[in-house]
Amino acid sequence: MAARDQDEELRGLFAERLALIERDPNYEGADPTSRDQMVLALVGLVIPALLMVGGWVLYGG
Amino acid sequence: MAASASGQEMSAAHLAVEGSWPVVPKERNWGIVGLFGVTLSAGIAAWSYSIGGAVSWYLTAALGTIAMIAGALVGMYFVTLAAMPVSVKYGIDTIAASKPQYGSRGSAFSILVQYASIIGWNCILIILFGRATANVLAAGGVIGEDLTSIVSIIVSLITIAIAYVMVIGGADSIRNNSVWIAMSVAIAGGIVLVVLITQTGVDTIAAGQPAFATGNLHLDYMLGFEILVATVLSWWPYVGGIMRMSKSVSQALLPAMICLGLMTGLIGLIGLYAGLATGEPDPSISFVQVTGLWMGLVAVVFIGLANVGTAIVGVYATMIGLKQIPAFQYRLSWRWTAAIALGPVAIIAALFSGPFMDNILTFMYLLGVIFAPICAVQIVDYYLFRRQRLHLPSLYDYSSRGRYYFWGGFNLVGFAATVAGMLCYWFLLDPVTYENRLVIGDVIVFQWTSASILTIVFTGAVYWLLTRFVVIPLRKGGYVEAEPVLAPAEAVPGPSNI
Repeated sequence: MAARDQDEELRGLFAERLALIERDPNYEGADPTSRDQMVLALVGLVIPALLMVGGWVLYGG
Repeated sequence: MAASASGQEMSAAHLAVEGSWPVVPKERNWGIVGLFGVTLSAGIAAWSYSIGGAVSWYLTAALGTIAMIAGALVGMYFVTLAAMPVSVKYGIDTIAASKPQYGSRGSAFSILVQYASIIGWNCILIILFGRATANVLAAGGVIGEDLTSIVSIIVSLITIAIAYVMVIGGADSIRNNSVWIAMSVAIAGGIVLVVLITQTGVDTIAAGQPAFATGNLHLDYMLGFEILVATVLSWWPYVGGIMRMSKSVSQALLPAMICLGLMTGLIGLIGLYAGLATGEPDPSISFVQVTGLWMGLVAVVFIGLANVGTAIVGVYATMIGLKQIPAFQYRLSWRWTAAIALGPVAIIAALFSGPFMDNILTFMYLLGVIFAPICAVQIVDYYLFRRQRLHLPSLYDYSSRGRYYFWGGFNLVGFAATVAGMLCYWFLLDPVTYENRLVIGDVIVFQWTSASILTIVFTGAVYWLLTRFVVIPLRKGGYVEAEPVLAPAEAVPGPSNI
């Protein structure tokens, strides 16, 4: 009986949490900004591409 | 009354941080220091020795260094793009974030992949540490050669027990332990790298020749790059569990790219240089032979801290993932979940460490094949179709009313695209034999495109086409706004629908 009560309570808490996040953007983390996307592309794509090309020019040919 | 409300709030926060519930920003208390600590302690691990050792088969030190750093950053770029923003935005882990692509029940595939990969990685970490300790003690004359096997197993089991104690303390324990582990391991790693270079000499390392070079330098260059891309892609199961504790992508971006991505490449340089100079990627034994037992012990301490730090983060991520299984959400305590995550590691480390380590490369390659398509599917779905917006209640609704129910809870298109991607990877680079099957004229396609990058592009295209022309017209998957919207109150967790 106690376990069932606890389950009910948890269900209520969970539903409340989902409702809050759904209707209030303050309960969400921040989306990536344009700057975040630029930094990501720079560090994850541009720099590695330059490294690979530069490495090949210096040591590959 | 106020006390009761406060208690409920604490209970909810507890269930979020140590379970599958979404974590709201005010509960994300790791902060920038915690995030750097956790990602750094996860990112520095002695598996990098094996990765660097594999690169040393194909490339010299100069080209190997460049290929490893570039590959690590590119691999982490795709993992970050696929898994981080959604976890940060909604406070959800990797498994929940995969439901819009594979279906509410199809996410069992993600749980399986996460469980298998992290258990496998943890076995590697724990067994490597046990063996390194025993070998160094034997090389230093502390124990006899005949005792190395049993000492290795004992050290492995003690390490598992330490990891268990650290992880049952929950998210706060992970953060607190990771910060000091990260600092220690960064210092110890630096010492190991510097001693390795000074002991063997820059000239020796630079002159070291790869043992299995193909004779086609362009192909070898891409193989070295691909080893890092594929390996770093296997951070995918870890990222959601860590990054949902961050309040913004800005806060999480550099810890991910530097500590998880770049560090895998940098620590791998130890394996690359040691492999080229001595033929053995783990420098611990050569340290004992040249410098003495004390330096071997420093190397072992480094491996121990590095591997325990990574193991506890992996176990934490696995536990969060396991909590997505309805029966585990409320019925299984945090301690038992930890036992389920660590139990198989203990069994393998104690009984099957030999056969497991003999097949370590096959394990790594197979995981690399899986994660490139998964990242591609997730990127295309989240950015192009969902427009960075998920329906949170449907992530926890397993019934046909949920938006991510698709066909019986499975998105067949997600699975079809993933299989197509795996085949694409196999054609470009057989993960077991290294054969390149896709050749146009005299040109080996792999040496221009790598396997992971072309696989990601191909899988993304397949997923986009099938979703655009099959799934959306059939009004499956919640892509059409007119789909019935599930009220949050209806999505109530319970044994049948969590």
